[in-house]
Amino acid sequence: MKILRTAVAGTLESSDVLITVRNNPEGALTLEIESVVMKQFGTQIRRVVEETLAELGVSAGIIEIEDRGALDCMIRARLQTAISRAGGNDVEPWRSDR
Amino acid sequence: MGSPLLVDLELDSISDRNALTRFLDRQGMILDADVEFAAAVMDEGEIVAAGGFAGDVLKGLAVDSSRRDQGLMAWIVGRLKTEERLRDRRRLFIYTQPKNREVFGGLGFVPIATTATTMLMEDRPRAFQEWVRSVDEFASKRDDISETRRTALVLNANPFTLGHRYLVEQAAASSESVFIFVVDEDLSVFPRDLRIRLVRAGTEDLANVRVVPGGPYIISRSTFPTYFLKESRVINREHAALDAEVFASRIAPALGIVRRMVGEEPLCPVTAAYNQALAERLPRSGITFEVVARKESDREPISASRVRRLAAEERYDELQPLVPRHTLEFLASAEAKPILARIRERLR
Repeated sequence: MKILRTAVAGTLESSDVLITVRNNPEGALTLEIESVVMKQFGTQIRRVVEETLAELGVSAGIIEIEDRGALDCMIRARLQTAISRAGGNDVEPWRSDR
Repeated sequence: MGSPLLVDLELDSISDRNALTRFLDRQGMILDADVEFAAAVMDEGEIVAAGGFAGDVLKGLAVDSSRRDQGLMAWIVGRLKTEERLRDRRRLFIYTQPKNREVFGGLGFVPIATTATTMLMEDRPRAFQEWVRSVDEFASKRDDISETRRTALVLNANPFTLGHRYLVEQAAASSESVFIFVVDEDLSVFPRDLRIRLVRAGTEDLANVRVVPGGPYIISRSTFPTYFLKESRVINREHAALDAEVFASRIAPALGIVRRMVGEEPLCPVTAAYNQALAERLPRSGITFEVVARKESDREPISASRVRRLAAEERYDELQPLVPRHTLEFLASAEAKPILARIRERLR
């Protein structure tokens, strides 16, 4: 999937995450992660994000994660939503996670 | 208590605007005229929390005293952030009272600087350090930046004149190295990149002078909103003091700046008041503050506004003693035509 335009999903509430994805004109994939639990779970969050992006076939874009202690499934869901919102009309509506 | 609902307000609608104004009034706040977007939490038809933004500055954030500690501020800030991100604003600022540090800290904001009454926060914890590195890639690696003795100048350079050049020469002759911060905000008639280009061209013979974009921390619309409302002749002392605080407590120590020089300002009350704020604050951090008398030509101070007036009328002979060669060449070029037309429009 391609990131064609800026899209956002999630909230800043406790146990949630706010994710912004944007088109990267330079064509690279950039991750920026901020988290209230960065020290304990920073690596884990990065892995979940990278896995999800790989599953969705996203190889370019700027991904900003502002985490408020979300569970992995939450991060995955928010990221999927943001990516599908960023994809424009050529994206099929989301059906199920697995 | 019903179930609270998060809604976007229609600022064009009189009833929404009145409701927001009344709510903020109860919190002892006012609705700034430049707020472009606002959201509220409604409960039984009443606003119980609200907030908005103008550019990348969040404004008018408040939660009713009876509804504190229910996470309503997170709703509001989350909504505002989402909307800002969709407008491709990647970095947000908040002015607030120092006592609110915890509230916004919990929502990802970190303090940039704090005066007795006001705290400026931003939502990207690493942004300041990234900016410092972009200005001086060695600043964070150098073991002891305090060994560096730099002078800083902040210029809008709209456009670069021989008056600016004189100030730069004074600084360069009397210090190890000079940083010229060119005001970043693109609200002047000469666009930012052009202003930087002309300052660079006009100082390239001075080996110890470096020209860098002022970025978001020096007289930007975020750190000093009222500076760009000069026409109104209103200066917000809080903002001036905060800008001086950011410079003294963050920028100077990070970049090894020990002196700041400014041109004397007999004409513009806003800049004069800003210089006053710097004069009060910088010495307390051991930074020398120096005011340099304006260079004159024909017994009149050389000012950018004088240059703009003459340029608008394409009186190049009279411009010659006022601007460096590169600026003059630019003003006479085809590229300058649309800018000169805009100046004529503004003078009318």
